[in-house]
Amino acid sequence: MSENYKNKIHDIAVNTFEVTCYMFPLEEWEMEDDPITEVPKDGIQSVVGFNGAAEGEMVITPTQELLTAIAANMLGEDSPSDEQKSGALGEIANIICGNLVPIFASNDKICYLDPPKIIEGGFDDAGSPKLHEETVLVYLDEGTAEITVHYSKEGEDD
Amino acid sequence: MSLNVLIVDDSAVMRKMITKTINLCGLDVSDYYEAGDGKEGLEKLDAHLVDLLFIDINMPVMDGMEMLSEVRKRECSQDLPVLIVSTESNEGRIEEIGRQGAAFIHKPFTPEVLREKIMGIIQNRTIS
Repeated sequence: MSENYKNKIHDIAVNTFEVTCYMFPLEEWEMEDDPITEVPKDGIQSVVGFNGAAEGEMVITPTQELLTAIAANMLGEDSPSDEQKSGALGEIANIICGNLVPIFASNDKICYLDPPKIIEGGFDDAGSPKLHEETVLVYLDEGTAEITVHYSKEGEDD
Repeated sequence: MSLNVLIVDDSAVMRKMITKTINLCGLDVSDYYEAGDGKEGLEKLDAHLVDLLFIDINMPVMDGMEMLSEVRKRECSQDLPVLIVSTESNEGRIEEIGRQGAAFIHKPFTPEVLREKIMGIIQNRTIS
């Protein structure tokens, strides 16, 4: 089941980056740099919480080059400002999370998303021990993103 | 025909993206108006002549579903073309959007899909 979730998270993220930012997915072996070590955990991240039919949060951590490319491509700006980079990352996080939550929610029930938050300098993603965790790396022609989802399905905490 | 467009979304990035995408579609737009939540959106709707309205669902102060309901209660905007832009996938909510006479576009979307949706609702309005 975990691999199934990882594949769905990866596919949703890739589709979002392709459609919204005109980026293309790569395989790990196609990356020039080591994709795992280059994702900075003390850089900028966006967190979107969700509740309702499923509860948890999604954290997206892009490389610096990907962060700049997201804003540049979404907004059509050659040199996006830090504010534009934060806003664009938050919107990407919002779109990915909005498309993700139905896979954790049963019977087509409604999930509610919190507004995306921007975190700088590292996010405490220890989560609750009751929550499941899935992490995927998304390799793109403009950089790499790490996506972590902490979640519980409806009724699990009862 | 030149259009006045109101975009209601709490994300400034998404408002700019929608504007950029509409421009890519080649639509003749006179003025763009923007609002960050449903309440502000209703104020802009009262203050300006609007031909096409984009509404996000998840917003602070007043969400998109509540705003759509208020829009339809007003005589001047009962038939206004409305496009709801959201990641929503709950069928019940999407059906409710249809019952309120609005079109729905799922995020993420391509410029081609957005153009198709806009042309569809504008043509329906012209025919009726």
